Amino acid sequence: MAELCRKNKALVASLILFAGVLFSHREINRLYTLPFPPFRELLVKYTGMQDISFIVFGFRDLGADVAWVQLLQYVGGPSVFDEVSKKKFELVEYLTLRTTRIDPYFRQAYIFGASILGWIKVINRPDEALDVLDEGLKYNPKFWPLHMYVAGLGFKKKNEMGKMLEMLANAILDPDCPVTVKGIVARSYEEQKRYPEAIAIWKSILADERVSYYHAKARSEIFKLLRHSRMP
Amino acid sequence: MKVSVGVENLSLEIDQGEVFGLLGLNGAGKTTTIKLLLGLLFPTKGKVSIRGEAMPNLNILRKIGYLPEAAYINKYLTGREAVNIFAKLSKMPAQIRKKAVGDILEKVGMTAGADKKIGEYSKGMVQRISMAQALIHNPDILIMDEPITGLDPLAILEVRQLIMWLKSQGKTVFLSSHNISEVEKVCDRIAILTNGRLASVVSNQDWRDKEGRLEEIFTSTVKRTENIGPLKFS
Amino acid sequence: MDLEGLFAVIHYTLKEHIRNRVYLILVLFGGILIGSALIVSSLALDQQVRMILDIGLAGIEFIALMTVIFITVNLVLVEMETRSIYLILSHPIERWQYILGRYLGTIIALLLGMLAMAIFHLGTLFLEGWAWNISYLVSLGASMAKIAVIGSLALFLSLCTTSSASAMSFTAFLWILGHFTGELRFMAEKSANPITKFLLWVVQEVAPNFSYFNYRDFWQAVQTPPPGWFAWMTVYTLCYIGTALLLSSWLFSKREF
Repeated sequence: MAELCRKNKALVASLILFAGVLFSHREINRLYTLPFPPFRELLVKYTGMQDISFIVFGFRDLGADVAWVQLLQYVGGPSVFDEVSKKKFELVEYLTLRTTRIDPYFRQAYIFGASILGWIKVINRPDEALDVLDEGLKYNPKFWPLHMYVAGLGFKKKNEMGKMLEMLANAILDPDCPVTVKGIVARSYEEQKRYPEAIAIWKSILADERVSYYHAKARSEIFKLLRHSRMP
Repeated sequence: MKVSVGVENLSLEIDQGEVFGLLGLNGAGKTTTIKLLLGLLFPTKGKVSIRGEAMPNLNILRKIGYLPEAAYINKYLTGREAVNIFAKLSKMPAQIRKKAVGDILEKVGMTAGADKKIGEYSKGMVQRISMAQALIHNPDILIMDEPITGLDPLAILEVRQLIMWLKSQGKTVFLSSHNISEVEKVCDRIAILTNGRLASVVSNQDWRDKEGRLEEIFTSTVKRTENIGPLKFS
Repeated sequence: MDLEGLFAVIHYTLKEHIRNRVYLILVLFGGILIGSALIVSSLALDQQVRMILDIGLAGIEFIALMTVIFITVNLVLVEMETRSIYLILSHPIERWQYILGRYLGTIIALLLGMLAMAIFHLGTLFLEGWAWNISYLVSLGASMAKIAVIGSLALFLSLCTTSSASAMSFTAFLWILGHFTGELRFMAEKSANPITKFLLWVVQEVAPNFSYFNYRDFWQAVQTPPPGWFAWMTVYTLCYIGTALLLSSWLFSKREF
């Protein structure tokens, strides 16, 4: 046996090191569990193959980004503020949760999806918005804007628009707040005839170089609001 | 399944400073013998040893220079880099390595082309670098596998001169070949291999000054191993 | 222990890779991929920076993966086929030094390539207004460790199998399996059949768990790993690589040429 071990030193050493692999693996699992939902919670009805492929190839983050882009393409850009058929936005909750089930820490996706569901007039599905925000809070309990949006939705349901706008005004102070959400809040101010606050939001969008694709929309909204604010 | 014997029961005593030839037909076991000596092949039975040490032994390999039949050297390296790498592999001290590399490149006539990549070399140039790597570490024993196969007459002459120079330096040269005319010019003794077995060992006294004698000994000793019969045109 | 032979092999392997056009083309392609992220990321609206970050890190890893599989599988096979290995092994070098030297030279070349791509990626990110985060370095380091592990496995498989195509296929399979081990663990726990349970348990313990190397996926999680976890990950990585290399050395020591 000793002779066999001596002649196969490398093999014996590899077995010892492999014991180290097994032991360290145990410790790794004991100290930390990967913070992702299991595969069975992924939303796979339409794009399962795509999403699972990204994950098993090790590119979960990229998979979430592709899902995000598909959500944006579904919703459309600034045109989401135009009057459109409600039917077009049936899958907003699904696509939002699809994105966040891949990457539960994609906070802006929760905010975006919930805002579209909760505050776009022609959609107006606050319960779905709350479902999205609840899931966001499950994985990101310390992310304060989510709490703000939940509170805002609560006030909206009770028709306490002033308090709702107060919540949302704080929520959009997050530097990573999606520009669409800022537009939604500006529209909410407009509905309450609080034109200066609405204009201030559109001006902040205009000043943000990162969202230059929204500048044309912001300019037209500012002109419209200025006209409204001059009217008796 | 038919088992073929590569080499069997081969034991040779070679004196220091001797030029020893291993002669045999294709498939006789010459390259197999050399690979066994270098530790590239392992014996299925028994052991392979040089100077009493079982091969591969790193201390013995340090004293060996190997010149293969067709040298393949990493084509991304320059000639100088390749020789330097082999000098490092042979445990040559760093202080003397640079000068030694320059000297050996000059001796093999490759100073001009030393800084070109081996991928750009001709076959002859690669062979020169192969010689350089075999000699850079001043080995006691040179093992050459078919050193003149495929060479032009001028190159053959140069190889012969190299072997004679090595002999004059007291080096032991072990070469394999099936070129009788060259072997008889340089070797002190030769062993004839046939079907993986040692058929006979012949001293140069048996063929010196006797034209065609070595060929006679060789043809009478060997047996054809290949699955083809002899030509019948006589 | 005399390691001069090892360093000589590392040295020429590194030179070989850096001078190999395939390697340079792959690094260049990585740069193009990162640059194209600037265009593609415009689809992400205000998540542009996030997308550039993700495409960049994923792209660096993907290019390194393709390179490591292709290069490492052929690392020893090519020298065996061209017989240049005869000259190497006829010199006084231990076979394990040759294997380790070829592996280390390759990994060093790859890591340098990844670093070059990362520098370009960081430049792109800073231009887009990204704020520096040390987690980037940790993610890159974890990615490099992952590549080192898969590289060692590719080398081992190249010595086990008879063709480079099958070695590449098995390596790719291990890459995928390595990202699936979390699910295997869950399936093992839920399985009623004891044989299935045992087999799944064995596979998820033995297969490399690559999900843990994807620090870029969970650096923003509420709970990030404690420092001890990183220490154990280092042990895990080194033990895994060591096991694969020792097995490769053992196989190579039995190989005849």
